[in-house]
Amino acid sequence: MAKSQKFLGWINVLFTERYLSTERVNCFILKKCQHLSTFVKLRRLDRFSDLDLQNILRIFDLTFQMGWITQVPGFPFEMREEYNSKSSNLDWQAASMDGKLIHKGVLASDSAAYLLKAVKDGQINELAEKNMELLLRHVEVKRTQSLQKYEQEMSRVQIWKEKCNFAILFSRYAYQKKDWRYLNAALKLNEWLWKEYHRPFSNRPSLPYLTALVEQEFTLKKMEQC
Amino acid sequence: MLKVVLFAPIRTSLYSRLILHGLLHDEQVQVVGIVVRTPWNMQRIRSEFSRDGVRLAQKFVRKFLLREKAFNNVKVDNLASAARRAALPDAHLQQLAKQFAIPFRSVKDLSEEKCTEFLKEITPDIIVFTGGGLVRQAVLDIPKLGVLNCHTGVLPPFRGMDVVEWTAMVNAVNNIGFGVTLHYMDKGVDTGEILLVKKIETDVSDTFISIRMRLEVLMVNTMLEGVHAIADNLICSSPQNTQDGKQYFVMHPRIKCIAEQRLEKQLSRN
Repeated sequence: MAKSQKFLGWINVLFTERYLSTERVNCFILKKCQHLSTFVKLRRLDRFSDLDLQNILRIFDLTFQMGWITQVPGFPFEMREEYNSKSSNLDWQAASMDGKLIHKGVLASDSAAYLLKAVKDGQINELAEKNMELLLRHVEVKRTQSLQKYEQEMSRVQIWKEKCNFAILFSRYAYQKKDWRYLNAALKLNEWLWKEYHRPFSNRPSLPYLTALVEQEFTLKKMEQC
Repeated sequence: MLKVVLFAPIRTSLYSRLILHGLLHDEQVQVVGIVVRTPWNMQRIRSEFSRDGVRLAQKFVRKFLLREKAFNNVKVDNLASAARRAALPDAHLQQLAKQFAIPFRSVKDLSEEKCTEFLKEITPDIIVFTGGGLVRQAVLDIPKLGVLNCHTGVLPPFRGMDVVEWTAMVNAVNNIGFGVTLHYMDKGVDTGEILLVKKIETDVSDTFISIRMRLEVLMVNTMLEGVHAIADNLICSSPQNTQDGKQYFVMHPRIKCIAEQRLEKQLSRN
């Protein structure tokens, strides 16, 4: 083999793209699920908000559907309406800036939640589709610097939760539209969030991130079968 | 005579040198300028690293250090074999510019004042873009006919990055296929008017790497054919309907693994 080829091969190995492997993600999810399961069994759920409890239910539901857990723990409460604090889907159109949820890199507050509700209700209209495309471009172009600026000032933890919501949104939208580009963005977003989460003293809440990872793995599994 | 300016990403780019070589041999064309981006500026390194990540290091070694040597022992048609066929001189763009007395500019950014002033001075009919990053509207407006780019995918369906891989991912190998598109650049990403679409045949032994290598050769030929046809007034551009396609972005490695499996499956069905 020519020396140049050997050199190129060596460089390729040296600079092989490092990415979050399936194994690491799965291991993280299972570990966190076990932890959550203990909370449920001990009925120590009062520390969670309604939205958190919805996320916990969703996590167990999806991991069960994927065959990662054999049993969904019994919950001592009734299923509540997801994002019931949000008003109707149409409201976000009015709330958005000139019909755009993102304008010059600044996002309308709660955009992810509004769009998640639209996805859940099957109310993705032309305007929502345009906004999804704008968000996709924003995340892909700005990468780690994306989803940082909001209309209203937000704390680091609030921004973290919003980013997790965007990752969930991308996964769900990808599945609904069978559009791999959004899952591609969700994978990248979750990878950047992984680094942020594992940073020393980051103190980021794990539940929204766990939900985002479970949604990603579920969508990937389902879309691979399509 | 069509007055052409060449935009290149680096002065050693094999793709750019092959195109310049072809243009210099075209009697209908006069190369009136060469603009090359300087690789050693932090702004460029930062922006390309944020886009390509570690792939930038591979690209740097392959295109800047190894050049033709990177293709040694490669079985499929590639830029190095095309260079041998064309008897491409072993000289970089600046040396070729000096040899053929073509005005040469080295710029930090293709949209900087130094570049626009140079272009306004030489008033080209066409700019042949072979890389070098974003081209702003102020530059797009200068040539009489426009800025030509050859995209490594079939337009309008596949705009943007990694479109070879995305073609396989969305199971379009057998209905749309792999190819290149010569188009005028506009302010969007690969949304300008289309001049030519050329496709390649594939076989079961193909991989993303072999397809990309063959497409690079096709890009050179398509660009030269397009420029010649424009000079002869034999070609018209047609606008794209962006609704007929999507913009794609750099593919995540986990999706790329699925795309590789899908490519294999689709090629075996071919």
